[in-house]
Amino acid sequence: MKTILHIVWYKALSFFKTTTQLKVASITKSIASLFVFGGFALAAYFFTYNTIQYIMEVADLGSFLLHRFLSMLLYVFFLSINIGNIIVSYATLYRSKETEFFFTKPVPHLSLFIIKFLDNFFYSSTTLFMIALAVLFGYGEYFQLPWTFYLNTLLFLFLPFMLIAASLGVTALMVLMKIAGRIGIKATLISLVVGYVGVVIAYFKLINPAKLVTGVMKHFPYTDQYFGYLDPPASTFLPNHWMAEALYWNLKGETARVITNTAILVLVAVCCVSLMFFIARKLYYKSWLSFLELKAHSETNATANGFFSFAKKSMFEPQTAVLIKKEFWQFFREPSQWIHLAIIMLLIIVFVASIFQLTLGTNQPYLQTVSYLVMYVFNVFLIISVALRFVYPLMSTEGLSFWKIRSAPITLNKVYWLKFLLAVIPILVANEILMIASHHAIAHHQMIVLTGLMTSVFVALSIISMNLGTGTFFADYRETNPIKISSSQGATLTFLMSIAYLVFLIAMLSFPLFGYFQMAYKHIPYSSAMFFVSIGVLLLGSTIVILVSHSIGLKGMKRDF
Amino acid sequence: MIKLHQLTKTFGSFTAVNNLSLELKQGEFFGFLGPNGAGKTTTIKMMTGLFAPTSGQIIINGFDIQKNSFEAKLATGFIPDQPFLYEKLTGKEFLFFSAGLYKLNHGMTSERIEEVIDMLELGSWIDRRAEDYSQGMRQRVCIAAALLHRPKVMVVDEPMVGLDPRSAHVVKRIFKELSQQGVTIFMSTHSLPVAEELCDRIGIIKDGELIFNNTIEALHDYKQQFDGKFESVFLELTK
Repeated sequence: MKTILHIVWYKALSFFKTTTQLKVASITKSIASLFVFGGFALAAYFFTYNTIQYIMEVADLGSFLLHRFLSMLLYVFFLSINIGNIIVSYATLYRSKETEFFFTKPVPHLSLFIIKFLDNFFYSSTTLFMIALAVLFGYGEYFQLPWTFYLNTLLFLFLPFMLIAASLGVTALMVLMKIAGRIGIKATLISLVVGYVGVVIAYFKLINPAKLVTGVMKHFPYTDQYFGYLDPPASTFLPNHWMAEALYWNLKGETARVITNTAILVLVAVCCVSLMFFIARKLYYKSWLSFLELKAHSETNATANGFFSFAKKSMFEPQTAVLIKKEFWQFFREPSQWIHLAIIMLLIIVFVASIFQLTLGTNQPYLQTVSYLVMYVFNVFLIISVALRFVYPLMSTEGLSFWKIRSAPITLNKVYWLKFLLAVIPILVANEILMIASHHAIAHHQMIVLTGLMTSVFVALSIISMNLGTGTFFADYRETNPIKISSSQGATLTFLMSIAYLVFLIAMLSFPLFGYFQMAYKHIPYSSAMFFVSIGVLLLGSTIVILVSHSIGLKGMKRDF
Repeated sequence: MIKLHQLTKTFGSFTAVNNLSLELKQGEFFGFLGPNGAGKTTTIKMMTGLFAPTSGQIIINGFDIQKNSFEAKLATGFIPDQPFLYEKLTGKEFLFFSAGLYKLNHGMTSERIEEVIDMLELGSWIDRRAEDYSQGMRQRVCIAAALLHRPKVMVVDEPMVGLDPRSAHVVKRIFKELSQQGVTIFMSTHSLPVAEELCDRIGIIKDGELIFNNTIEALHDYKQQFDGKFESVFLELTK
């Protein structure tokens, strides 16, 4: 315990000394972060409050259905924490130089593991936790819950919930690293991805949200009854279910059921964490050795042949050619990059396949507008996530090797714009595929399709520009892990700014969309003037975002290296 | 060939390089010495475009590094103190990458790369990724990359760090040959024997100011005022 406290103290000291440096850039970053975080928390709070108000008062779906949807959201939240911990802990538990350093010191392996786990847990879960906190306040405020509710929920529901997700992720990683030593890293990773996708598909197949909604609608407006049969037995064994149940029964005032579900959650969390420590005591050091062995045996003696070979003459002029080839190999030879990309691509394919089957078969203009906006926002959110993960770190991943480019006879603007172009092409293509797929259901509303496709180009450009610009301005050439770069303070700030931009998008699109669906419903010819005004403002706003982002990025590029 | 005119670099209230002026002729081999934190690397970083000077001017091969950075950098071969390479590229790919940055003719690139690989005895390791390299191997790849475009000026920061005796011997031989061929070399080093062995002129910087700048012959004379050792001169000057 003494060792743990000693190391944690110095880590905390180092963290506070670096984050509280009185430099103009860091002060600006902190003030901007404060505003954006505050604004975002406020927005999340109001969004939650209004959504619950809508569900409860306008749609009149009742608190049972509200908590079933909450349970699904919590499942996604659980997976996010779980995946986040697997990915980040791979870096902190195995790849980190600090880990290597501590293994050469007389620090017990379990103590080192605990330090790294805490590091990992706080690093990968803080942003999600903050979002959850704002949502919790929105929820509590709507139902007029006392202050003890927040305290109890945070301590006895949220914390165990997050610990279960994190400890399961880290335990799985240790076991996987040990297995990888026997069956190879590729086979292990493929099994992991297949297993994970399987779990997600199985969950939504079991829960079947569409069936839940249609089942509930049969009983409309008495939607708070007859729901016993809608809970698939398997779902009752999941932490998201226990948490949603505890919240639901708390509203109903059934203390015994609240305590039962809370107790299950806490008990399972204790078991998961204990299991993780037990496995860590047995496996952490061994799996770290396996990792080193895997690293040593990985096939690295290959100067590439083929299309992207450096030796091959390119159609581009030499500087452009070598920069493209470098980006390509740097990306595809880094497992954490291509594996993450593969997972995201898979999710996009699943999403596109699902959305093709979707019908916005309602005639209610309000619901049509909301459904369309949800779909649109989801697409944009996906692009925001991809950009944050892959575009934001683009400049930082140059690392300290960037001296070669900085001291070479090449303009930095060229390097910057080439990175922009390399990010824009694949993301724009993915974005348009998503948009076409999501507009498939409303192909007959040509005005909407055209607007959607056109605005999405500007939206993608804005988001990519924002991420590259701020990613360059806040570039950290010393950090070698792209995942850590995309979850840094600057990245979080960029993410929240992207969300603010998303809110701006919703504000610009919602009124003309509602107007359009209303006119279509009443069979009145629709005047496109309102669309033009909104789209004009949207394009103007996007252009400002693009210009400001690039000017920040280019400025950051010219700083001393 | 290299001209530093009243060069100053400040970081907030700290002055790393203070009003440094220096002129090197073609083929001159300049040894830049000084204690840790004296301003050697800062000067080199300004000469190679990694830092912008707070004031003053740097002319390389007749071109101002600030105003005509393309031409100035084209004439320069830079070897940094820390040989950072792109970890996921092989040594050979890094050499191709460097050649491309200097716009080398593609037809001649492969030939030139093989030439520098032989020159620095890089062997079969050149086809392994940089993540597997030792410090010495990284250093030699950086040196090879700096020589590819046959620069007129070499700016070298601590070239011998991490090199085994054989590699150090090879590198010293290459530098001597380059100097004889008319390449101007600006080399920062902590190794007094290396500076004495290779350089035509020695400069010593302390607290950002150039406190000694003379030919190696003048240094030999100066040494006699002490115990005949360069180390004693250095310790006295930087005291």
